[in-house]
Amino acid sequence: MTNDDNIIIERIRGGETSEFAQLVKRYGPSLMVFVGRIVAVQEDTEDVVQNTFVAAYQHLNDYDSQKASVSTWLQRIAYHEALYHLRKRKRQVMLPLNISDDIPDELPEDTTAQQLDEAIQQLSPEDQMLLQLFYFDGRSLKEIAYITGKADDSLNREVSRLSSQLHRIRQKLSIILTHRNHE
Amino acid sequence: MNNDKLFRQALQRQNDRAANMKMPDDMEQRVMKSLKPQATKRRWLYPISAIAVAACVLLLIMLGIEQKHQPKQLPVIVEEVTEPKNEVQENTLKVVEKDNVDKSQTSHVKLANITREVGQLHTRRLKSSQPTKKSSKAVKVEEPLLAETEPMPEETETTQEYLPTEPDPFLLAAAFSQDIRSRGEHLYQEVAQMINNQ
Repeated sequence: MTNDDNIIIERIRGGETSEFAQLVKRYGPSLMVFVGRIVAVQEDTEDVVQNTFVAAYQHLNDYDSQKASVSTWLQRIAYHEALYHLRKRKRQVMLPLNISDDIPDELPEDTTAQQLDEAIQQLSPEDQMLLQLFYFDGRSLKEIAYITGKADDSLNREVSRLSSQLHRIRQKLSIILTHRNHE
Repeated sequence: MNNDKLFRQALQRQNDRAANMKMPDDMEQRVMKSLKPQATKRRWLYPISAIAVAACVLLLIMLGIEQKHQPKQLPVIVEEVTEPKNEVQENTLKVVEKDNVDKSQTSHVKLANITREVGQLHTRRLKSSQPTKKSSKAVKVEEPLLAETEPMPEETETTQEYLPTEPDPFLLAAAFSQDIRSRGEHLYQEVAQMINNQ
């Protein structure tokens, strides 16, 4: 599959634009699920995926097969497009600003599934995507750093940042759930 | 992390909700349609940019050439050469030109000469005791003045170059202001005379 993707990309770079439809057909459905994790609205998810493919076409020359597969590269673009879309809609997450180190990262004992679902929804889109990529998809921190990092960030710096961020996310969940239980 | 199972189940549910979002059938068409202006733009971008730059450069060169060949507005310095008063008809104006002058500009200078002389004659008339009358003296002065002007060039047989249908407004304004000034002086003299008589 990877070799086929590289061949298709070389053809598109050579001027055969019509070949790009193959990439859309191949990776469109998975991107819809990927974006739908944080966007959660059908129409918005379609827009984000469409913008992702357009951006991918525009930056086709930036793709490096040595750094990541086509799928991961597209997910990187989709991640940033989704965040941009959500920032435009001004989605805000109400969370305490200061998280001290002594706050536990474990969920309270009496946490229900519904409470946990709602608590995850209160996290920022970045945090939600990080949880999904690490705990659900089982991706490595290096791969997650490639998807979520910015162009000028060093990969190693991003990996070390992610591990502490995962810890912070668990603490946030703990705060949210504890706060709920006291209400 | 305890309740790990609970946590993964929550993430699973979130993923299942996302999996319900199906890609629409027309997504390929929408994407390819969005690409077309990009492809067209990219294909024609460099040639159009090159043409635009070349057009700007040509325009600048043309403007530069045009400015070089444009005839310059000649700053004209006019000196009045005054003759003795009994020889009014011999008053002439010398024009100092800064640059090469063609025949048409010579005729403009001649027009300026005549208009200026007319203004001066009118001023002298006002200073005399009978300013309203058109003295024959003035007429007499005018005739020799006209006779003294340089002969018209052959190619301009008509008098249009010397006596244009529309007089120069600036020269007329100058003559008019001179007229007002001389009237003012005359009035001042009359008032002074009246005060002295009282």
